[in-house]
Amino acid sequence: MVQRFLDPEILAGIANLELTARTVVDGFIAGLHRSPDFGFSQEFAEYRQYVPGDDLRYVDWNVYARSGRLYLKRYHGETNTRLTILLDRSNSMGFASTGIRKIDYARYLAASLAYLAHHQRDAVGLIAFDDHVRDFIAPSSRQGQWLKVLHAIDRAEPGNRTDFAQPFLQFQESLHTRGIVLVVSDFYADPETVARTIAPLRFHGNDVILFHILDPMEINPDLREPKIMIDLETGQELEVSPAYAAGPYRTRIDAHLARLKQSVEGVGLTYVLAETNKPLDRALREYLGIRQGRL
Amino acid sequence: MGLGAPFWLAGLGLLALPLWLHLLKRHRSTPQFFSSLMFFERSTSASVRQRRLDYILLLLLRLALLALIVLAFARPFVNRALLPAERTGLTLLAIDSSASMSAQNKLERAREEAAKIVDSLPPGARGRVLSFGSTTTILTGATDAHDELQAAIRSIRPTASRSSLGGLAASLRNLGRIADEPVTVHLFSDLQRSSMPPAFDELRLVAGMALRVHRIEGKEKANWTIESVNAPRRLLDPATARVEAVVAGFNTPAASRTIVLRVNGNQVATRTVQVPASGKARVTFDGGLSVPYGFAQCEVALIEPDALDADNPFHFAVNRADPDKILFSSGTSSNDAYLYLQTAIGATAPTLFTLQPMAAGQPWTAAPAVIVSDPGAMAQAEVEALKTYIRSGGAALIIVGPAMASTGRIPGLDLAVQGTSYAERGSDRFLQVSEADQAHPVMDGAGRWESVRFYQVFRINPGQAKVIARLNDATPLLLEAHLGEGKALILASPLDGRANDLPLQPAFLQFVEKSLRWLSAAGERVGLVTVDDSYELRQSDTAAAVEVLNPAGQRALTVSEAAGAKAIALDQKGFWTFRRTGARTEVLAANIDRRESDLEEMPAESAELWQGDAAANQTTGPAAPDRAQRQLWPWLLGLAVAALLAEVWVASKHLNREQQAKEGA
Repeated sequence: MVQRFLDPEILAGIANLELTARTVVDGFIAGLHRSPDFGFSQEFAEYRQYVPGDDLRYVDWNVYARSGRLYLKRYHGETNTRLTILLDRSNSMGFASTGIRKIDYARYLAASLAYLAHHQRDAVGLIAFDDHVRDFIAPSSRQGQWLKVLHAIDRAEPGNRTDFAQPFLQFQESLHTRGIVLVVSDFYADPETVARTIAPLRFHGNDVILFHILDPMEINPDLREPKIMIDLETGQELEVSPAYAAGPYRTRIDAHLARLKQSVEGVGLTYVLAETNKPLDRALREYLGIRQGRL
Repeated sequence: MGLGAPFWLAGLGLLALPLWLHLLKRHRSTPQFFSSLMFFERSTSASVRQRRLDYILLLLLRLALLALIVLAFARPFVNRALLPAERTGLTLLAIDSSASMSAQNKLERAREEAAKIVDSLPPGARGRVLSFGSTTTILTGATDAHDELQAAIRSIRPTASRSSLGGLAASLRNLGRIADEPVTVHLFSDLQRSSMPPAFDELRLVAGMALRVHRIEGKEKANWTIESVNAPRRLLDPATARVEAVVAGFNTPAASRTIVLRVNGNQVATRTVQVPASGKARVTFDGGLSVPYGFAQCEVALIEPDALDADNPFHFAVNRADPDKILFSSGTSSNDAYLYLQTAIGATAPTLFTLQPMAAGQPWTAAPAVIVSDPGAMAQAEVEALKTYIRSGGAALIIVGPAMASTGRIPGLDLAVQGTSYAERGSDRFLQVSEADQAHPVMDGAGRWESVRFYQVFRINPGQAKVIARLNDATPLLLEAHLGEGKALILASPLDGRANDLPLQPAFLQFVEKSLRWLSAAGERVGLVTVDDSYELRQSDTAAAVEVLNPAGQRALTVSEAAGAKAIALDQKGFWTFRRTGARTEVLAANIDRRESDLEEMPAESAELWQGDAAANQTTGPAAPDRAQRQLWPWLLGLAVAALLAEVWVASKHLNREQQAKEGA
């Protein structure tokens, strides 16, 4: 199961990103995560001259013995942040025009990000939801947590229709501790509603990143002939002509994407569009890039 | 209302085909699941609905098309009451214009009776006029213009044809099949017994056709005629010419008849002969036939008038000419072939030909036929001259020899000489004729070819040529080839006394005579023909024009017909003149068919049986006398065509819409 989520190709991409991140400085990552706790670090960083008020525990007495001056020894602090992944498992996530369903792509993405956080020794948690919270694993960095999260991701299969309001009310109560929140969904809802529902997480001090998972067919439908479309969540049927799919639909979906991006970024959330026909590591790279841009 | 062929309604089962196709088509439009329809609108379904409408419309049009076609094949009809003029149906007036009708005012009486029939027709009744001899001529269409019918009747003139009631019945059957109303045929004829077909069934008419026979009787039945004449077609020696004629009597008592022989209109001899009752007598004109060079128009005629004067003279043409000069050309120094051929030609009696060696520069066209013996490698100019000669109607006997074999081709003809077959002379190994076309004029009666031994034969690839004789190793020995309007005979073994012993065999004399007769067409021309016979003008499309003069001296063909017609029907009695290229003129004599001379009439029982049979046909006809069927199938076919056009238009629109949809996508 672990092998399934840790695809060698994806791992290769992630490994490169990790190397890049570590060379930038662990503290940079720590700063990126804005760990509220001063770290008990093991890696030496620099010396700083003592000023009154500094904790004497960090004075390097050996230097003082050799030079007669007081210096503080500083270390890179390590992240102890909490990463919570909110995974949308509604019926609409079961759509696929290519070989991979949106829910599969979302699960690969969640697993990869969890793996990345696990390697940084962050506490990782998962909430799978549709119109209710279906699975909840509180963030933790204990031994075995990683596997629990992977199991929960694996269990996430499309089951019901999406309703952001109800599940977000539930898990807002369990997200008091500051951390990073990743929302992986296709966001088939009114952009203002999405922003209004998720914004409280940001107010609690979380960094919130929205991964918008869409199939290329949803962005650019390729209809050769008129077809009867059936809504995966509601079962509603509509007869759609190729001309409409190529024209008005494109306009409306583009407007929706633009409004969603504008709405969520307006309330301080980060928006990443992930198309299922694009490599998975690209989303991860964009995620790290966006985090880097926030420095 | 009814159906003429109701079993065609089984074809309505074909309606299941478009139904099945359309259901299959609709089944193909399977729905597709989509993650969310929040960005689609219901109005986008218009094109799909339109296409479904098209499907339904297409389906209906296709069903209508098939149903209409099936119904049309079922031949539906409605019965309707006939108008007074229509109750008489179509009246066909068939008037005999054969040679026998020219005597005793028979044709005039027939026309008068036909005119009375037309006068008796109610206004609006439709009629049609036919005249018939050996063939049937339709003079008018079906018309209610009675003046037109009267004019057509007046225009009928006596012909020299023989009457054929069987041919008339066949024509009437064809007219009856296309008529959609009752047809009454009025037949005006002297009803000769000799006009009846061999089987009475050939007089049968179609259902819905009634026959009224108007017998035009002649008071006189006794008729004498010159049945045949035996005279030389080609006259070499006028002093020894002899003309024989046979006088035949039909329904005649024993009587003495005076017969004269005329040449170019001049009476040259008279004979009196006693003809037995309804019998025959032979008359001979000895003492020569003094005619000038060229064709002479001769006739043997009865002097005394009788029931049918038109058959009293018997025309024949005689061609006085010197023996044909056959040119001989050889490419070798050996004189054997010439000597053999000259001896053979001189042994024939009468001497129709003379053999003359070809002088340098002598034109080919001067001779009716040429003999080319092993010319070897001819100069290209000579080959072209030979080809031109043959193509323009000349004839050649080509004897293949070693010099010709070395060139590999037969000059003037596209035939290849592929090699030589040898047989050893010392032993019994020789080749013999094993297969011969006995129907060919050259081989006719040539039964002694089997004894001829061939030791050397050149293998010729026949190609398009016809093989007349083969040897026992399947090598073609004698071939017939055509080029343009001319022909050639090819002998694949030389006449040198060594390659074969043909010149020493009796078959050689017959072969030479028959070959030269066939090549020069001396024995091919038809001397005696009857009126309405067809005469072949040309064998190929590229042949030169032929000018034809009828017995009245008028041109019988238009310019285009003279250049392209393959044959001409000799529809008048007398002398026909044919002028071909190269100043070649031929005269043919056409005489009335002697079956017309027998004025014995059809038995009254047969005529009544014929009428009765036709009346029975009418009672079993498709229409009652006061009702008529109106066929609906033409309307149904018209509607089917309209449905087809509509289907094409709708289908085209649908395809355009689909194409636009695809391009939009």
